[in-house]
Amino acid sequence: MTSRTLALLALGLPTLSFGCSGAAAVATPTPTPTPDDSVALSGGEGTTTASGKNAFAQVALNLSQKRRDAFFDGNALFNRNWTTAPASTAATDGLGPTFNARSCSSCHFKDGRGRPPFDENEPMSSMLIRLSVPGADEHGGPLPEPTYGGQLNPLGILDVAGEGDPRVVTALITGEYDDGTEYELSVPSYELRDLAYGEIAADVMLSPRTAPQMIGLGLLQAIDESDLLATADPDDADGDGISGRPNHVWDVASASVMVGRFGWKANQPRLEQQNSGAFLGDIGITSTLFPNQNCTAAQPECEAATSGGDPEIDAIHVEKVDFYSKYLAVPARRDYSDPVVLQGEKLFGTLGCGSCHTTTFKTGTVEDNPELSSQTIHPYTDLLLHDMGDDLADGRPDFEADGNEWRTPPLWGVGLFKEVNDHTRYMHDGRARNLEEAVLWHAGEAENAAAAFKSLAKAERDALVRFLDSL
Amino acid sequence: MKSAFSTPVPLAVTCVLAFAGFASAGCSNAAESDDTAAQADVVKTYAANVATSYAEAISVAKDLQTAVHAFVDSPSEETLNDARTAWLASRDPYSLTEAYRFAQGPIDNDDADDDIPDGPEGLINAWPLDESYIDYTVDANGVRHDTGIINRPDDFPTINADVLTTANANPDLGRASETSISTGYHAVEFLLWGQDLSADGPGARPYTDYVTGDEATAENADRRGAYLSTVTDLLVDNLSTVNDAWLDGKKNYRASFVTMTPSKALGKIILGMGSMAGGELGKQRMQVAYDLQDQEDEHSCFSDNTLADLYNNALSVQDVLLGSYGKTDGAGIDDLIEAKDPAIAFELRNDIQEAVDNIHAVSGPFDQAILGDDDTGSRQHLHAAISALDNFKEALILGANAIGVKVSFEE
Repeated sequence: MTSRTLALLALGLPTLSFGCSGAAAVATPTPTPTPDDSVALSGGEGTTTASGKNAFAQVALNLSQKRRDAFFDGNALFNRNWTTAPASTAATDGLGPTFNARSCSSCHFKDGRGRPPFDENEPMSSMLIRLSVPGADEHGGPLPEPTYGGQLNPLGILDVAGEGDPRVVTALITGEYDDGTEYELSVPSYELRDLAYGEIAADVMLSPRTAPQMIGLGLLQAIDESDLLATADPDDADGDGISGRPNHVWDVASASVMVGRFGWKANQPRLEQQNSGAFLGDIGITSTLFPNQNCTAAQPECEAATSGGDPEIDAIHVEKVDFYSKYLAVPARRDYSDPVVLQGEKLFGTLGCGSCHTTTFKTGTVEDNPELSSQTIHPYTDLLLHDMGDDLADGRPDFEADGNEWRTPPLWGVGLFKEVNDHTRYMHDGRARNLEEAVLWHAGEAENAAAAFKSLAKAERDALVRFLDSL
Repeated sequence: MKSAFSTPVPLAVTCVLAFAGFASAGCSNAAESDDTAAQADVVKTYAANVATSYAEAISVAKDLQTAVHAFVDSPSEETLNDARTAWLASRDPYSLTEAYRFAQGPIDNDDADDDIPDGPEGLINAWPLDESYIDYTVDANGVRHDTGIINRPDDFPTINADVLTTANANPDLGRASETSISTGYHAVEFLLWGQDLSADGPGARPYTDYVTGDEATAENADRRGAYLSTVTDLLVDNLSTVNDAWLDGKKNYRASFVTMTPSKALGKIILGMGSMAGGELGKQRMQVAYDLQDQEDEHSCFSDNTLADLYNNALSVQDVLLGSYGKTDGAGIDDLIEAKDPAIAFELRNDIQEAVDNIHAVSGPFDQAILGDDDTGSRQHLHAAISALDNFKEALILGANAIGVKVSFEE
């Protein structure tokens, strides 16, 4: 009943308990939840109480019916498989020539989180590997690997070979909590097999990244830049060991440098650029923002392949997908007044997790998007870069993010991966096999917090995980 | 549930009152077991109708199979027309089964956690078809590209069911959505009609694409014939698996379905019907085309049969609501809701009838009907149908609540 009660409360309607469970069902007032119910509304007034497989696939509750058409159009395009050009369905042809997936939803399945292959026999299907060589491009971004480009595209259309077959090989390491309990962590390494276009540069740098969940992205974009910068502490002036700093990245549309917000290294300034970038990088679809197919000089078949239009996705279609990606609702928290969850929430604070996983922001004003404006949200991220230690490092700089730095990912929805995507894999490369392991992988600036976690009693550790699961 | 609070006020009020009345009346064990018996009846009726529908679909699919083999064995204008007629005849019964989708059942289950095998829907009716992956196509400049599996004998020396199934969706990739769609009804349709290059008519593939010698209009005629007959056989095989899962008196999905807790089975039925009505039919298949006006943004684009598909899809939703099959009305979800909240039952029956009627009133073909200004008759009817399906989905959430079933539809 929690979720229904919540929605009723949120809308100021009377709460009633209903339904029949045995003969004892009567209308009883819901116990007054503590703390304030607003903590459950992670995505502000747009928060959804939907659960189950479609928990991430909901439209923001506060988007009025008459504004929803674009959302549904975008949803359809998000799910649609792109086809090889030419095709009768001219609006959605132009797949590849090389690509990672045929649709957005292939990796962001049910708008959810991708995962690494479970073992080396399984192909990589909802994560990707970025490639670059030392140096920077004209705007300070990564320098693409000369033969394979900025991202490995394992698949190709019939006439063009996919670039190669990335595989994950894992090894187990062990560690110990302060109470003597042992734990195991799975350490991934990557092999690029069957490379189709010859040798890859000897100094190539790889950055494996899973597909992130799509919820609440419009709200993250709506946080005022000044509020992000206010939480930054690049030189650790307050001496807490945590030096969050913004990435500064190239914004193609305005041809200027902006603060990065999206992507595992905050290497994208705006959702619109993130989306069009993914159309090109992941599916091979050119757009107004990125009009050139990403074939390298070593890939003449790629250059010669039939185009699906100039560009392949037109501005109107891009706009629909952008709108969709802004308005996927954040699910409400579950069990937020459970005593164990409350204990875990308290530990989250005392351990210092909240120093980077900022609990609450109030969004600014977004022109023509009142639903995203002035929303009190609980994303559990500062969208800033933090050194996460050598073990997690990809060693691959991305604009101002160095090889050890990652953007704090939002924690909203992390307890729902199991329901939505049938897995519980966390961190940028999905190496953590559950939330407990995710905490244990924290190092670098998070060293103290992780050490404090290891010093907890089992019941306390479990409580923290219960809290994370409630997000 | 968002929808409960975004629907028109009278309905929301009805809903709250209904809950209050329900709760204050108390729930005696007797009333509860009456409810359970009525629910079980609806579940059984549904199962019987599903079985009848798939039996009909497979029966006409076998007619199609016969006609396709006759065409491939002896290609002519006449045998091609016969095969096209058989394809069109096979579509209506299949489209009438589509409200059984999205219910984690045999047609399209994709839940890794249960013991039901993944459903073959993606091999039966997926869209948009990857034409260039199958056969030659012509680009916007009129240049023909002899690509596709048919024209790549070196890469695909043999054409058989396994090869086509793997080419459609490499099972190693382990994700149903990651496919180059190249099997199912629309693959057969493409191979019979060809790419739709005409502004207002269907595709016009000549039968001579299937002959060799002087008359030949395309390379690899034999391979094209092999692809067409194989992909049609595969369609029948995949339909058979679904059909078998619903046969009466077997140890199959139907047996477990009719014995699970009725409210759990109802949850599946409602999830399927609502997802089909709102998200799939109303949004993906109609509203997107209505909004974006992309020509050929339609399921049966090669044959221009899309309007008939949509009409039958709406009828399939209506059938599930009413517990009916064709003219035979049985115990339906609407009856259960009627017992708890007649206003919601009325709204549901009204909405789906409105959708059916408005789709019926559109003059086709679909890719022409979506064009023009909003005040054209066809666009008005399409818009009315989309709205009715929207209202249906919203009301269904309330109706499900009224009978104690919580559902979250994919948007």
